[in-house]
Amino acid sequence: MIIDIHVHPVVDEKAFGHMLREAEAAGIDKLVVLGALQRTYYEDEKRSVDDENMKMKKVMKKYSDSVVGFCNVGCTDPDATSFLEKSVREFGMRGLGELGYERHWDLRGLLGCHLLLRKAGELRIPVVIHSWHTEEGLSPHLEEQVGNQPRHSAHVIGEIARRCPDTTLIFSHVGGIWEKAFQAAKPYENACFDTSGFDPLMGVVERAVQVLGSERVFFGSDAPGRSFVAQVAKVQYADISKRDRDMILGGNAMGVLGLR
Amino acid sequence: MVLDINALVGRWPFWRLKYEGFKGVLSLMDRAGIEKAAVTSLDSVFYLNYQNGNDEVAEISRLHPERFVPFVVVNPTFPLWKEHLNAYIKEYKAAGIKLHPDHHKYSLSGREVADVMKEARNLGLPVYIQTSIWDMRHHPGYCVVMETPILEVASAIKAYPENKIIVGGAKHFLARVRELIQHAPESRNFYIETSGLGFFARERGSGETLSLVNSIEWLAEAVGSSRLLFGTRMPLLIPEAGKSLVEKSKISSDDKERILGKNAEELLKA
Repeated sequence: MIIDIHVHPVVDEKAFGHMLREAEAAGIDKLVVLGALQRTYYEDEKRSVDDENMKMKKVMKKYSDSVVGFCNVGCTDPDATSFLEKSVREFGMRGLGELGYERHWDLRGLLGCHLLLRKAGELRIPVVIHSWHTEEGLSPHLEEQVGNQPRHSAHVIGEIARRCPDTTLIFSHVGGIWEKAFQAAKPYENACFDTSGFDPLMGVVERAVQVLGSERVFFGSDAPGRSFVAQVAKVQYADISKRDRDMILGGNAMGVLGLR
Repeated sequence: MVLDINALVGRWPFWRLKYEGFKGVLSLMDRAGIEKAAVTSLDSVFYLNYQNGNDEVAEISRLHPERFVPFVVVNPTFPLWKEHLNAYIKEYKAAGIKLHPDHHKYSLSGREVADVMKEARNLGLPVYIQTSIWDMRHHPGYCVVMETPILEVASAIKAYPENKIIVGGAKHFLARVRELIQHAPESRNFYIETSGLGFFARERGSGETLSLVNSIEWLAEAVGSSRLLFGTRMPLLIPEAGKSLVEKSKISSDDKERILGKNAEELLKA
């Protein structure tokens, strides 16, 4: 069973069907569709979390065999914890995320979201967190050129995991510069990574398994912005054991999503 | 025949690559079903003397002429580059020139590149412009190398209509390609190398996805399959990833054959 833990929502129904067919052609059985980006992302629209949950619920119902839905909430929203609980208990969402993908917001802000993250732990759901850490000492010009997405120091990864030991945290994109990110996460068993959203570099998955163990690595694509076939190849062609491959491609996701 | 237009031998400075060097690349080619590869050396990018890499390419293409098609890296900021180029052309019949303006720190609009383009025309060789080898967001802080702006590439393509130019990149390469096509819509003298291409999402203003687009299918429509060249950047990238992207695209088998090798064969023969 191959489960993609990192797929962004597609609102158009025809386009969603197309995405499912592309996933199927790449051998992917289930897609974890992340919650729509937080309200603060759509500053002008102010759409409600309930509206997003309703949309996701419809998708989950229509494609019950192939879609697992996550919810998303605004990290800085004072009602985030109750929204999360409602999304899980009333709408059947099985996870939270992708957190941290908010404009004009530093991911260090997640350090102040321990109540939300701990609530996810209580609800026994995983949290997917956008994660490209920055390098220290870059000039503002380079910072701007290198990445226009929320970025943070690698140490934040470890610190968030330390503060929320009962929550499974899945840091996306192997944390950016994976060597630092893996070391930051290593002491915390609840800190995991997904393989989504970067070119199919050789040796990254192998390194994740070597440092963290395959139990802490999840296959993700970052579709629709990335190709399923190219992203899944990172795991399919990694020089790892069959057991490790099976865990990364689906076994771990089945466990944290309660699909066993 | 499957021909990879962008394979790399030499040493990668940032982590140990299991398939580094020509033996590693050969084993990857066998694993991925790639018969031939146009090859340059990473040593030409990272070593002080870029010729060290070209020497390596000369050597391996002598050892395995049936598998490797040598390209020569030119660093036009280096004294006597023209003499070096001509010596390599004579010595090992390089089939193309490759430029790394990001690492070697020059502009494509400068005098040096005008000279390279002139030499390439005289020699009848295509010029591969690698705007970046790997996604800048992964670069360690001590070695952040800005990619060559795609608008500079578009200007070069327009400034040198008689040259055949291959364009390859890294970070969000598909987005860069879309910009390139927008800025050089009339130009027919450039080819796009496929490594790093993926999907893109057509969006409305708010960022919501309206449709999902396979880059190979879209490019085959937008510029024609005859201007796409299969490339892998192995052993830095997993070759099967890029190959599967072409093979699983919903384009005709004739188009796939062209992209996977026929276009490159024709270009290199010409």
